[in-house]
Amino acid sequence: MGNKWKEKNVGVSLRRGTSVRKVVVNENDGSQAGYHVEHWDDHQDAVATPKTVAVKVKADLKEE
Amino acid sequence: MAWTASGLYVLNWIDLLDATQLAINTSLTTHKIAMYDNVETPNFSSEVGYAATNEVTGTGYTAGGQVVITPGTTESPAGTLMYDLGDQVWASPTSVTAYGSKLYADALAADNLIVAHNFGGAFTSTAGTFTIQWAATGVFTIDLTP
Repeated sequence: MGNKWKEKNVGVSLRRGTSVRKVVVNENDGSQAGYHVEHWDDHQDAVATPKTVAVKVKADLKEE
Repeated sequence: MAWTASGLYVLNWIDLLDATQLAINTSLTTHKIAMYDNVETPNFSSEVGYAATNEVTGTGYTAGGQVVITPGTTESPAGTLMYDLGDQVWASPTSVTAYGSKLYADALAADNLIVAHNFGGAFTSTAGTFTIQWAATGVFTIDLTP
């Protein structure tokens, strides 16, 4: 199945002036990590959307 | 995959708060963001300063990275310190592949590291723009009132 999919898409190029956005999946948790934008003229943009580093002070420390 | 986590650099945050009084001023626009390949393995407990080892190379990318844009430290939401930045853009034509980034204080002699972000995968720009689009909830937050 995978090979067939690949074969069907080999050589497929975008129409002049168009682009396609492809999501990049986060390898750690499966969420969306960002995306690539592929352009008809073969250049590609990358947009990484990293998550906020969220630090929490442990609530139980307030009692110490 | 060498990048497995994002985080703050512990040694520098200790020095920031203790008698060392490390002068990491979050308002500075001289801080820089450098990007790294997949060989890089951040060690949040031992690393102190920026290093070029495993930093990405390619058209449009200069070693050391770029200065940050519109830094701000505010309370958001209530009880939480939030550090935020404008989106970081390497203009076209940039051709690099990056897996993560490190923010560091370029104005300090040791180029002290502040925070690193795991992108979660490979991001490649080919003669295009490379953007780090920060979350609406900021670059990092410290919830001081859990």
